This record gives sequence, C-alpha cells and structure tokens, in this order.
Amino acid sequence: MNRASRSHALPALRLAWKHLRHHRAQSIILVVCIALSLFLPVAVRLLTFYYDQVLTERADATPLVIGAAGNRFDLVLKSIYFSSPYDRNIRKSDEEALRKKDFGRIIPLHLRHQAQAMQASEDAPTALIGTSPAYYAFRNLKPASGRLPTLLGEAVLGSAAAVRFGVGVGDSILSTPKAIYDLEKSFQLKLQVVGILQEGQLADNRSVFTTVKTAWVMDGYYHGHEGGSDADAHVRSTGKAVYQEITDANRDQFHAHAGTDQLPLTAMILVPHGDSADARNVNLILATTHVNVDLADTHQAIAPSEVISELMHRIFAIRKFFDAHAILVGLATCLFLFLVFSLSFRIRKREFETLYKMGISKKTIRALLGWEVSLILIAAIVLASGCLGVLMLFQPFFLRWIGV
Amino acid sequence: MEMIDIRGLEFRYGSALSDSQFRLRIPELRIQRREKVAVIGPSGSGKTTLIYLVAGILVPRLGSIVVNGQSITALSEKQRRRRRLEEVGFVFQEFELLEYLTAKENITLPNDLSETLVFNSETQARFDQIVSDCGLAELLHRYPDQLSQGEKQRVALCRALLNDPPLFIADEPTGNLDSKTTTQIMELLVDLVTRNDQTLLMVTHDPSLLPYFDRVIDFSDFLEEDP
Repeated sequence: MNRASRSHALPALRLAWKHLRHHRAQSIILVVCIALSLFLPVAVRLLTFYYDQVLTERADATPLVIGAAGNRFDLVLKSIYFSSPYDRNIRKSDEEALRKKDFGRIIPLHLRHQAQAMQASEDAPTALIGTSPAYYAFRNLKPASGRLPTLLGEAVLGSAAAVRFGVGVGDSILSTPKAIYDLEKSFQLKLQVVGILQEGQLADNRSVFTTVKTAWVMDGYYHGHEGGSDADAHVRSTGKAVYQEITDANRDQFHAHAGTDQLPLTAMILVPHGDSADARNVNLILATTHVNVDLADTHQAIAPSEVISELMHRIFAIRKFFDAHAILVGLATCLFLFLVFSLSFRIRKREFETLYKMGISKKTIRALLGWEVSLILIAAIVLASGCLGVLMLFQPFFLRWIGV
Repeated sequence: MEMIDIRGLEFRYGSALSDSQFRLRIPELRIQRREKVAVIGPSGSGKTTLIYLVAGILVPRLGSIVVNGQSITALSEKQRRRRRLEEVGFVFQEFELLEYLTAKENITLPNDLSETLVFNSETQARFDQIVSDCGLAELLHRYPDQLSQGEKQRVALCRALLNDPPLFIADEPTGNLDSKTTTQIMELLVDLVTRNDQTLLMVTHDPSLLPYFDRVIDFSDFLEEDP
C-alpha cells in the first residue's frame, strides 16, 4: 500500500471545480444571480456618488444663474449642464442692466439650439451654446487646437463632441433647425469649426460653443442675404436667397432688423467680484429671495449649489428605497442560494454516502461542499468586481446614459 | 487463515420505542482468505447490514468482528474509515460513479481524495493492468452517461481494485445488468479476484450466480424480528 499524509483541501477543491465545470450552465446562472445582487446596489451607489460629484462640482463652481422666472431646476439643469435646449428667454438689455450694477462678471448664455454633424446620423444632436469669451475663462476652457470663436459663424467644440462628430479644426458642423417648415423662425446654419477645447467638465466636453450673435443668426434675428444690408423684415419671402453659411465673403452682409437690446438670451451667469463680504451678500440676497435687482418679478436668480443640493437630497431620499430594495433582493438571493445548495446537496446525498462508504473522510466531503459554495461566491464576487471596474472605467458614458 | 471472523454478533436497527425493530444475530461466521462467498436471503434479512458491518460502516451492539486480523469493534471511526479505504474494495448495485468525472477520474477517485493513498508508478502500473483487463482502455475519457451499464460496472470494479485490497465486497453488482452482461461481469470479477488472491464477499439475489462461489451463506437463518 502506498501511503502518505496530505491535506484534503486541494483534492476537494479539484473535485469541486470538476463538479461546477460539468454543470457549467447551472454554475453560471448561480454566479450571475449572485453577481447581479452584489453589483446592482453597489453600482447604484457608485453612480449616484459620481452623479452627485459631477453635479455638485459644477454647481459649486457657478455662483449665480439668472434667467426667466419659472422652474428653478429647469433653469439650473439647462443653463449649467446644458441638458436640453431652453426656450424661456430674458433679453440682452437685462444683461446690460445687471452689468451696470457692477455686481461682478456677467456671462451671457444662449441655449436655444443644438448642433449635429454634417453627414446624416442617427445620433442625438448636442447642445450648441452661444456665449461670450468670458465663459471660457470662467470655466478655464482653453483650446487644445485652433482658437476660440470670435467671428460670426465660428464654433469651438468640446473634446467629446469633436470625437463624436469626427471633426477637427477647419471642418464644419450644422446647427439643428428648430422649425423645419418655417425658415423665418430658424434655419440650419453651417458653422465653421475653429477650435477644439481641452478636456474639462462633462457638460463642456460634449457641447459646441459659438458667439451669441451667431446664435441669433440661427434664431433668424440676424441674417445675411443677396443685396446686402436690406432692412426688409420679410426678406426671405421676397425671394432673396438667405446665406446658409457665414464666410469671410458674406460676413459683413449679416445684420439685425431690430436693436440688439431686445434680442433673447436664455440665462446669465453672475460671478461676483472677488470674495468680499459684499459680493457674498449680493450672492446671498439674490439666491435666497429669488428676486433680482432691477430685473422685475419676471426673472429669477439662483445659486445652483442650493438647487443641486436640494435635488441630490431628493435623489438620496429615493436611493433609500433602492437600498431597501437591494437589502430585500440580497435577502431573497441568500434564501435562493440556501434553497439551491440544500436541494443540490440533498440530491447528491447518495454520492456523499458512496464517498464515505469508500473511506473518504467526512471532513473531505465537507471541504468539497465548502469549495463548491466558495468557488461560486468567488466567481460571483470577481464578476461583480469586473462589472464595477467596467462601470468605473466607462463612468462618463454611463453618466451620459443616465442623463448627467 | 480467516479473512473474516465474526462471533456473537448482534446488531439492531430502530429504537426501543419504535413498533418494530430489525435484529441481526450471527453467532459465528468465518470466511477464509481467497474464499469467494455469496450471501443470499430475502430482502430485509440483513445481507447489506453484514457487509456494512464487515466494512466498518456500521458497528455492532454486541460481539466481535475481526477482518484481516484486525478487530473492527476496537477501531475508532477514523481508523475504520482508513481501513475501508486501504483494505476493502467496494462495488455497488447502482455503480455509484460520479457523473461529473470521467471513467479514469472515477477509477482514481479514492486516491485523489484520500489523505493517505498516493498515486505513484506502482499504482499507475496497476491502473494500466486492470483497465486493460476490464477492456476500458479506450473509454477512460468518457463520462458515466456515455457508458453502457456493463461498462459502468467495469469502471466501478476498476475503482474497487486499484489499491489491491485484500477484501472485495460487492453489494448486488449485477442487479442492474442483463443476463449477458451479468455473465461477463461475473467472469471478470471472479477472474480478477482469483488472480489477485482476494477474498470476495458478495450479496446477490440471483441463484444463477451461485456456481461462481466457493460457499453460499443463506441469511434466512440469521433473521429475527421482535414481536
């Protein structure tokens, strides 16, 4: 007889592995069930954490947003995260009025349009923001290539938008028409890409920026047509061709038919001067009363951090339900596993009895069962960790997917 | 010299409170080395209980069982288990092969799981010999569900013989086989046991198999049921 003394753990592990491998479909189902029940609650927490981080970071960096009275969540989400076009307007004259108060830097935002690639695509269009050079300085956005837009018809793309559209400096993109059948209201303008921005915050990376005047061209307030600076408001219906692209040759022919004071803006960002008590006071007054100075009751001034804080508070309240749900799912999974394993062991009782009759120790048989459960759990943890790794790796994609 | 020596054995199933109890009493039973013994008797007469007692799976209430010179009743559970692994080859009616192991893995299973048995060159030579004797050389990679009933029982035979146990116990090994396969398996079993100088103790219900044995023990004689 060839005798030696060795551990029962390794042979039991090999046998457990062979059992799981032989019943691979059942094993995979078990692993996936456990992995999902581990992954989902952690993923929800992770995404809400990122969501909170991304939203809060940008909101905290934006002292005040001023826009038309209405839903404050709508104003904040659309004017600082560019979640979708915003049609509630204030006027250019509001900007001037506020500028005279000298509370701080005023950054105009025109958020009524979207941009798309030149070639037809099923991709959703991206936000096209009309703003001033002060915006780039405020967000610390610098061109990675090319330059910032200064002339009518020029645009600069966020890094993600450039990748998505597959364009570079010198290429063109199109604005998305707001009303296809009414060119008086808005028409599709070909924009020249003069720069690609360095990577910044998510909202900027995926957006396209142009000048406010170019946005007004898309609105139809500014236009250029054959025959120069004719002040005829119905110029399109008179049959004169309207330029669909602004070039060096026709740029001078673009003109407005009304004073720019009355032209629309969507919102303004107010960056108070310095960090003085007065500046903070202005900030506080505007934010807490929602009444802006000299801009009547038709406007609202909001500290985005407060709105986002409230929003996140609601999200976290909702997350409690997810947490409770996750606990229940976890509990159900544990019961399910207990049932599956106990049924499996009961079915295999005879197998274990045979092993015992042959002389295999109960310790080895217990090790075999322990390994089977452990291997399933380890595989599930590895799978769940892998999924979390992918989630973290593609976090911007998932955040975009959930609408951040 | 005896391979098995049983004296004054009494074994009882069921508690004192249950309505009926099964009691096995064997005043004296001796089986010589290299003897081939068939155990017959009606269902419930204690045939399987006897082989479990001899193997050390069950322990008698009274009496002594000496197997291969070692008193079973004096051994600890661990010692009985080790003795079973090293000195007893077991074959069952239902083959009891593990469905998730190949024929080869099933044959080497006791060595793979044992804390004491190793699979060395000597075992390998023995493995090759018995696999060849049983005609399994081409089937070693197959799983039990890819084998016929006769092939399964031959795999079980190889598993029981691999470590050259002096005592070979079979619990109705041909119970699930047709008559042709039964003959083949019995001839193979008797041939292997004879060649290896092993003692065979086999439970059977099939009277046609009795000519293969040196002796037949009828368990009707030992059966006793309390009123």
